[in-house]
Amino acid sequence: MKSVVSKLGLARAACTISAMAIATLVVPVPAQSAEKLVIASFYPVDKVSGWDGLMKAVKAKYGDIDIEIQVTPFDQYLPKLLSQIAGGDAPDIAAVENTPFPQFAARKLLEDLTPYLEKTKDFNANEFFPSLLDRYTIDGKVYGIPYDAQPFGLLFYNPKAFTDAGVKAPTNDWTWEDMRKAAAALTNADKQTYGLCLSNNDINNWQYFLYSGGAGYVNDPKAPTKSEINSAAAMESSQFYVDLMNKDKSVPSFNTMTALGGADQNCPNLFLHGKAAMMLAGAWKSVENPQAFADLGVKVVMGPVKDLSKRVYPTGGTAYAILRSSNNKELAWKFITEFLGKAGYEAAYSEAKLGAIYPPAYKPSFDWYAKQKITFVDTLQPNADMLNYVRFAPYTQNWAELQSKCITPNLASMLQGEADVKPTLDAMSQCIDGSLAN
Amino acid sequence: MHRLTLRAVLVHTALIIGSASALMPLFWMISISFKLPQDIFTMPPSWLPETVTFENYQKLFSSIPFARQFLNTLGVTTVIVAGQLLFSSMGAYAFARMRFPGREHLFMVFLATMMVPQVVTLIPTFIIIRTFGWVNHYMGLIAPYALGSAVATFMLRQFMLTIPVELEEAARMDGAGHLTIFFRIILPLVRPALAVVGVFAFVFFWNDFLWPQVVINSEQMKTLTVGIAGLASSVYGTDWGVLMAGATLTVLPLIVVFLVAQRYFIEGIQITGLK
Repeated sequence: MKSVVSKLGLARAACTISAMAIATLVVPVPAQSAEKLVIASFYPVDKVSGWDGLMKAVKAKYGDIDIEIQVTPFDQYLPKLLSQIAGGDAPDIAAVENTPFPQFAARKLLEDLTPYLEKTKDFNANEFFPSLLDRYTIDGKVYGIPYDAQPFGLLFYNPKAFTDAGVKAPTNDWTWEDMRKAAAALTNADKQTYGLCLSNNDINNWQYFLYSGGAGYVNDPKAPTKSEINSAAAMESSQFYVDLMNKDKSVPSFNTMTALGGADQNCPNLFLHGKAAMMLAGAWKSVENPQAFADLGVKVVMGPVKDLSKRVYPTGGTAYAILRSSNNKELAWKFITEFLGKAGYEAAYSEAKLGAIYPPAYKPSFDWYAKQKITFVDTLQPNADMLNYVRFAPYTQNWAELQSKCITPNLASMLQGEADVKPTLDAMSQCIDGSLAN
Repeated sequence: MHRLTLRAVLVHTALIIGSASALMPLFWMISISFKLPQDIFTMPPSWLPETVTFENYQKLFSSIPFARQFLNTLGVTTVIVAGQLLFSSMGAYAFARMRFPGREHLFMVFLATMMVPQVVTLIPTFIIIRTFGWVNHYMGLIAPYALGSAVATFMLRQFMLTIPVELEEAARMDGAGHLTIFFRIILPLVRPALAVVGVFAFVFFWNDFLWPQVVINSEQMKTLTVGIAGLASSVYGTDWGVLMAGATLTVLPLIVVFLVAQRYFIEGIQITGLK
């Protein structure tokens, strides 16, 4: 009896395993559609408002195209893309962030879009913000179409906090000193409220002061050969930021923001909960949470700079590119013109909450958007004005690695006030020069 | 008596401290999963949520197709573990009990494959899977792993070597062949080892990230680790409460598996001890 039971048990186990295996085998592999477009992105582009409207417009114009979105987290995006390309299963279109773009270009993964731009009516290279398109242009050839136009350094402010404290509201002509005085007046240690916070990661927050203080990382951001991170202007800029945090205490300290989970997310929390009167951020922060900004009655001006005659603001952003390995380049291009053209932005706006969409890099769309009603902030004109003064991170294939190796290890102690600015920047400069020379 | 009591107290104190430090991150993860966003990063930190909320769990199910990804992970992991146990035990039996020319050398070569990192075989495996049309398919997740592994084969072989040969010889005298000996004598005796291997395999493949990340493209087909990674590394910020809610639900089955398989670990230790 026991042997029968154990035989039955083993037989049952074997059948179960076989059934499971067969069940997975018979799940049908979707048949390849004749017209299929695969889009890879590091963010859920199909969940950004306006996507459904855009799809309707694309299908109405080009027929029933099967569009597949592949979302891979940012950190794994390039390795996954490279695996797909090597395995012959690459997408047609890829979202490319500005910082890793040099790696994509160096690996010759991207299609030259210049001929496409030249032959397409109503979607030309000169219709994009030049500073943005330039990032994705190499030797006169365009490899990526910029998606958004969002410099970092918009000064969002809470008008009520200013009124209550009797402080004059910010203007587009504010300098650092104006901001410093106002931040000090708006800081209240007893109530744990700050005058100002910066909403980005540590390096990018510091970079704001570097650029707006007339300094920079390298001699030529487009073709860097030498570090300038320890210039006199860089030292002054860094010292200013350090003093705001550690002397004035009008900006949450490095340690406080780190303990609270990072400035990137926590600064908006502080600002929207009335714990910070001003916030330096990019337009995307308001687009992602428009209702909270509307509820607070937030207003916006251009970020203050040290010298009004030398405005520079850091910017990042995303471009969309067609991969060289694509078999659907023409269709991919048609999709890009719809997605990044006016039709795409009109579709996005029609579905957007309170009119909040990422400001587009395509000028006809941008100008159209500027005329539409928005209620989440008072105006986005400062964002447009700042686009005349933007600068990207240095164009090197390994800028992310360079930052990790040369900047990040020393930055924390400098921002905490534990290390002096000059020796810290000197060490960073030496390291960057060494890496650029290799 | 006093010395024994003092010793017991000291040992237990050390064990309690060790257990507490090991369990603390788990407790913190669960605590955050029930906190409001503004309560997550308070200074000083609060161990318990001031206001208990299930909002994070609700957002989790609307942010990603969590239930579907959970079932994907459960199904794929179960099939892989079953396949690994079956085929690795067969391989272990061959290396432990069957005599054939070059057996030891073949076993060394087989073991040497453990030294090859996964990234090295990533692209060739992807090309093979793509050739079969299994990209973004369950078979793409299962096929590379379900036919056994060097680690599992090694562990089971070592355990099988401890089983007396006499049992096998007696069975042969009764007319049993390899299949009968394997299924009716060896397998029941290596149950503790199978449980250990099964648990390790379950944990490994439940947590596997790199291969599912590469071979799966659509949200509906993703496994939990890949789905939750999307919550963690969004360019525009991390919703920690939702992430911790996802992590809590992801780790639950592993805890259940460990609790169920506990007695097999102990049984395995006892049997080894008796020998």
